[in-house]
Amino acid sequence: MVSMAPAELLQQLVNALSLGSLYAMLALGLAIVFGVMKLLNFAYGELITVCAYGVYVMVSSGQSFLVGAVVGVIAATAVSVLTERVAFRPLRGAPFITVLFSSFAVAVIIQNLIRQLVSPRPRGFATPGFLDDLVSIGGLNVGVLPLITIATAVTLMAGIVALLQRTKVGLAMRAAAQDFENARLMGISANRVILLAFALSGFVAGIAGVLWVARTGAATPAMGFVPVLKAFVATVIGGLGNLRGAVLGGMVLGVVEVTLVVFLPNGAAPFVDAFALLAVVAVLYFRPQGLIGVAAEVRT
Amino acid sequence: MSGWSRLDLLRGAVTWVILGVLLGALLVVLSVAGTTSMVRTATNFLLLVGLVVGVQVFVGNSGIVSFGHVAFAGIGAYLTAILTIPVDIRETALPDLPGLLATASPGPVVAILIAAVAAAVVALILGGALTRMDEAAMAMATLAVLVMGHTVFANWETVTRGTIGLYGVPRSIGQIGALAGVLCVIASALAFAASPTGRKLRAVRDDPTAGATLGINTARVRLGGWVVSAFLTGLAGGLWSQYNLAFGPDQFYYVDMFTLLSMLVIGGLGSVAGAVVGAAVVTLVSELGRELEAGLRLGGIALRELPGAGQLAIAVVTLALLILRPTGLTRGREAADWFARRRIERSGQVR
Repeated sequence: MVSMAPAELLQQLVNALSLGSLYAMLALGLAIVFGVMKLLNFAYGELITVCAYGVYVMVSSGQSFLVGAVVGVIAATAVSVLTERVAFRPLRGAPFITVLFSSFAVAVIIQNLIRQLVSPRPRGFATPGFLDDLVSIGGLNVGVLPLITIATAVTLMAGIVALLQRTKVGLAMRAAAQDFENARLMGISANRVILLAFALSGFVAGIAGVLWVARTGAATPAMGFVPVLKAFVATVIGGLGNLRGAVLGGMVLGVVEVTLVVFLPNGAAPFVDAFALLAVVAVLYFRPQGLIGVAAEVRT
Repeated sequence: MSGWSRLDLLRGAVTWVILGVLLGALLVVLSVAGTTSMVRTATNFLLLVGLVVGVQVFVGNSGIVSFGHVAFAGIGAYLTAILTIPVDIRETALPDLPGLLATASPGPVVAILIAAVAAAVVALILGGALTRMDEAAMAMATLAVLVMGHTVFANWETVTRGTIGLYGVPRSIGQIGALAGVLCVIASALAFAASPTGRKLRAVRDDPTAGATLGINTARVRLGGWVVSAFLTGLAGGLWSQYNLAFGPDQFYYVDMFTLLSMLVIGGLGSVAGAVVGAAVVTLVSELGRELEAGLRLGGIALRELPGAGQLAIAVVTLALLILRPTGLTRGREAADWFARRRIERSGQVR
């Protein structure tokens, strides 16, 4: 066990919360589509990639990072809606496994289109310098980017809760998530609700994507794999098909990873991902339905 | 439901003969009339068939996607390779191998079997948690298996040489060995489909409620299929290492998993024959794609290279088939049914 000063412990706590918030946002975007469509959207990771390339194109043509961020979010939202229209709408009502495969194919298509159209090589770009600065809060030095990440996550989640709880479209989405057929019988347009779910999912992916590239400062064609993996794992930890579970799962995954980085001996550092996933599998052994999921029912 | 299905055994036997004749004929024709590189492509195709049939045992019978099977192929390949690399080369290339791994040389066949058992044991440990989840959660969680495998292959440098990869595996099989090995895998897969566990697994896939009513323990039959499938995939991975001789961790990652899964989708998930057909189509498409990637020449003007054109083509074909013909080219029928006058519809087609 590493002994640690209280200040350092608090700083690691901020790191854990920041990583957890990022994962929570990623998981949230994935869970929105899963809730309405029961689709595991593997191409979700490519929305992050599209966002990153949006930022890259803007920044490298002399625009500010903020402009790049706005363009990235718009691009991710647009591509999300486009994939629904092209790849998922023709498969509506198809078995779970078919649609999952389809999303997998979409992911590979987007990745390789980027290889063809931009470059197979990574593209780096400058991120604003102030993101790396530290601010002092009560004698505690905290990075600006972790603070922005946490603040963005809280705002975004509050916004989504407000959308779902206070607006008519939000009500329609919740109804569709609960019982899609019944919701349609109540006069809710299936196409509109699903399109909205994909748009919202793409928007959340875009926001998370901007924060993701702010950490890495690079865009590569295959970069979407890690975020979609984190999002998948986080939603499974929390319990599939509920948004609160997705957020909780993201936070848990972030905290587990940071804890492992801090407490594992140096030689084990490359294995952090493997240990984190092993811990997750161990948790799921006892709660296969996830932390706050409903016990798995046999679907008829 | 508790016994072996004689009908499925018969169908399996006929399918096995048909596939054996087709694959054998392919090798004979190419050995006589083809170039060396064609024979090499055909051999690699056979080794891929072994892998994809191993995956089909779980994915086809259970109807649950697994992204994790390349990890089992990787365990099979790495362990077989280490056990077959000559001990003196092992001393220089991998000086810190633990225990028996440093000294044991059981010969290729035993090495492959040991590696397959190792893959099955890992699958048993992880499967305890995975098979208790519902279909969607399990599919997601198998992604964790993929990443765990890759992390270990890429970082356990004393055993795997990390990202540099292993080399110096002596070639112990040629095209005949590959054919023999693959026919063993195919036979096992067909036998599994006829076995009590295989039949229960398909029953649960097609109607979970009815399956549960008949007293089938869903988690247990899924675990059975998962472990058998991991064993066969590990075996096929071991076989693969004996022909491909040098490899690294990135050959057992999501690009390859995508290729394997596309083969299943294209051929048809529900049958072993579908896996073979899918592997054939994907091999053809990626060979064409490779020609494209080398740069097209049209009217004397060299077009620029198309990186990843093969992958793109496979993905587009997969997506088109999913929309137009979701049961794949074979529609989930075994080879035995292709020629049957009265088609016996397989009770468990993946719709």
